[in-house]
Amino acid sequence: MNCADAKKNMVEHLLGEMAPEESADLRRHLRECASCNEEFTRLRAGWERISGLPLLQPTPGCIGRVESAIDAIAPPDRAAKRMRVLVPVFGALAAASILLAVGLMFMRPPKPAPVNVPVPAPRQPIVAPAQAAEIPWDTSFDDECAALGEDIRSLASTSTHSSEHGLGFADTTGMSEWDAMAKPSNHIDSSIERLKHDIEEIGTEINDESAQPPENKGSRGKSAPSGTCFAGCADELI
Amino acid sequence: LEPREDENLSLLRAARQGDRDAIDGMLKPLYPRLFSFICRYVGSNALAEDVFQESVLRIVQNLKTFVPGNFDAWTFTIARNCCNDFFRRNPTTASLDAPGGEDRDFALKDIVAAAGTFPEAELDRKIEEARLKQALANLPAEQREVVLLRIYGGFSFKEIAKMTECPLNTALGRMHYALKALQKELAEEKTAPAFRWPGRADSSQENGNELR
Repeated sequence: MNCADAKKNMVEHLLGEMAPEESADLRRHLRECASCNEEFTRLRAGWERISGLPLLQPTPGCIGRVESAIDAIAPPDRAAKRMRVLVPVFGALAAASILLAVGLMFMRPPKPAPVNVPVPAPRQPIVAPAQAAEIPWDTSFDDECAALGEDIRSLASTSTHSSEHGLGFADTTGMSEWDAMAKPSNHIDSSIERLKHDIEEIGTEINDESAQPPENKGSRGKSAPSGTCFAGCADELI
Repeated sequence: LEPREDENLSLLRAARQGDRDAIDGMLKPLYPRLFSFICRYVGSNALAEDVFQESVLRIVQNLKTFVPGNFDAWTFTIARNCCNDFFRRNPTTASLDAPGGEDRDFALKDIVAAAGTFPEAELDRKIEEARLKQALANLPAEQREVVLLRIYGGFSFKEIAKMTECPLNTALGRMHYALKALQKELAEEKTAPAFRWPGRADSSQENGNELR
């Protein structure tokens, strides 16, 4: 090996990349050539010093910025990866929900106690007093009239109670609030009082008429009833 | 395939599909060597951080183009290309005197300024490191990259020649000249006047060395 070949191979020999037989040739030349030996010594010293350079670690801030940047430029398949993770998770959640629903169907808890909400009773129509139903069908017309007069009087007396509630409904539980809201004005009260009075008068007249002698009973349609109105009407008829 | 290669392939497949753990598993072990290579090549820690970030991003973006093989060589090639792009963009900044910010790899002048704050052994280590860094920075870029690819990448000269797109003998020649230049510069520094640390006796006089 000559000096040119030796210099060409020095680095490979220094860094252990030379074939063993070529390394042996170079070592032989270095022993024989002082110049090449001196140069090889300089190269080895330079390598020994420079290869002692320590490793440097990037700062945590630098690594954080790099990782953020990687997150920002994540490959498009990342969404697919997320889906691969999320689909089984959501599938499991859906299955759990179905199982829970089925379980609830078979393990239904006892019905809760009904809440006591005041429910108004169904409206009941004003019914005639019990006496009206007791009138026999075979009674005479006068008896019917007498019974009707009594009924009207009793109705007038009950209307006092009804007028207190304004709507004329039977007093039932829970109606007081409704009645309070629908309390009539004084004007309605006075109208009801007048109506009561008129009904009482009509009832009295019917009773009086039914109390007359039997001979007058057949002409009841033509007789002039008492009272201004009825008298006027009778005059017109005559 | 060997088990290790099979494992690497499955890791690569997962990383290509965007698996973040796989990406970290492939890249994080390389961070110190990649960062050191970039830092020594660019000459400043602060500037190196930007180039390092750009390199890692380019690696992640191009994972799909990587043909299974020498992953380290592929990543270092990308880092080298990023460094050369940086030099093209900033032709005057590849210097130790570039603004370093919170540079932990102190330049020699910074060590001199802060000499009183270091223990002596730590100070010697930092001086040696700064000298090496300075000597590296004084090398031509093509020689520097060969030295750094060997030191931090551990690549063979065949690999370095391929990575730097030059013939094998050219790569070997660059290394040869780089080592000669480094040794020459470092030897000259040994015989150069030592720094005078504030409040310290001249260590060269204590050791009996002559000063020029």
